[in-house]
Amino acid sequence: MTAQVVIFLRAEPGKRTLRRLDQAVARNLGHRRQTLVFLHGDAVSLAVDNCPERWRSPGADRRLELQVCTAAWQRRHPGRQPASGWQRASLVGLWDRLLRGADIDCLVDCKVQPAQPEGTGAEFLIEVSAAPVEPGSTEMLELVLAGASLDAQMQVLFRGAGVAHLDLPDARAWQQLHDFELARLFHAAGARPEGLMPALPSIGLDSKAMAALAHQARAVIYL
Amino acid sequence: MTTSDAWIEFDGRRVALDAEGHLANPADWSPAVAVALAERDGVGLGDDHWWLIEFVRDHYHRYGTVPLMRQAIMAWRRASGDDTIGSRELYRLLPDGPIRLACRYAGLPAPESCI
Repeated sequence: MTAQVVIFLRAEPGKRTLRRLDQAVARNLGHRRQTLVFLHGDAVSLAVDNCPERWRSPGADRRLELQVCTAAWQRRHPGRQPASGWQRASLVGLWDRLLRGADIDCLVDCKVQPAQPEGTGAEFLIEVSAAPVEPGSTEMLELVLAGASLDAQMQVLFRGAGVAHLDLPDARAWQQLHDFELARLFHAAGARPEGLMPALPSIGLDSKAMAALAHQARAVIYL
Repeated sequence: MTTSDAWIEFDGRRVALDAEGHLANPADWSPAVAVALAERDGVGLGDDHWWLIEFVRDHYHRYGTVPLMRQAIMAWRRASGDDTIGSRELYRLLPDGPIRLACRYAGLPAPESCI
């Protein structure tokens, strides 16, 4: 089954996000779209429990896939299996869906936005606004590396608390994106102290340039 | 050299392995251990194997992650000046998984990411 829509969830969902997730699943299944819910980061905790019965309406299960990132799951629940209905899966598999044209559905609370309708570019924009806290920092980089392993064209924009990734020690791991030309790196110019050079080479952008970057991207993934 | 699923023994020394055949303690690594681990898989290490082993060790220590195949190819091309090198050449070296096996022989832990 090929997903036409990927609902990507990274943050541990609160009640509001769960309601949005529920609505997004119902909306996509209602439009008879093949739908993949993919849990990453702290969101994998959702797979501790069985998937909601309401997602199991007659005919719906053939169009709905529920996946949990294997590595993120193992880090948080070693030796356990996800609950009934959830399957372990790789980030490479997720990227394969995106590269084959699946849309990313909007879940504002977990900061994943749908592809910009005007976006005609080939590059995915990954916007990192979460501070470098482990294991989330490693997992955000893994998401980018998984895309790179399939030759996805990517741009990474660090903004807000995410600009801390540009400084050591966190910049060390992200440096490989620059050294191996895996992604183009940008940061919000105003989010860093003036005159302080980042350890990770990246291009500073003003708000207008950041908006243009997102507007032209094939899809935007907010981390 | 003698081996079991849980250890290899050579030069009178026993080195513990994890469930996936990687060193239980990365500090046990030495070139002789790399040779013993490769022999256990029926692999004889040549110059190109050693280049790959050194590359994954350096990458891991530099960035804290295991390299992608794409990164290994780019580094090999840069080192050799041969732009025709691709994944085929890596698989000729280690047909059962070039990066995974290079990590094992390099004394690195089994990659925990799902890339």
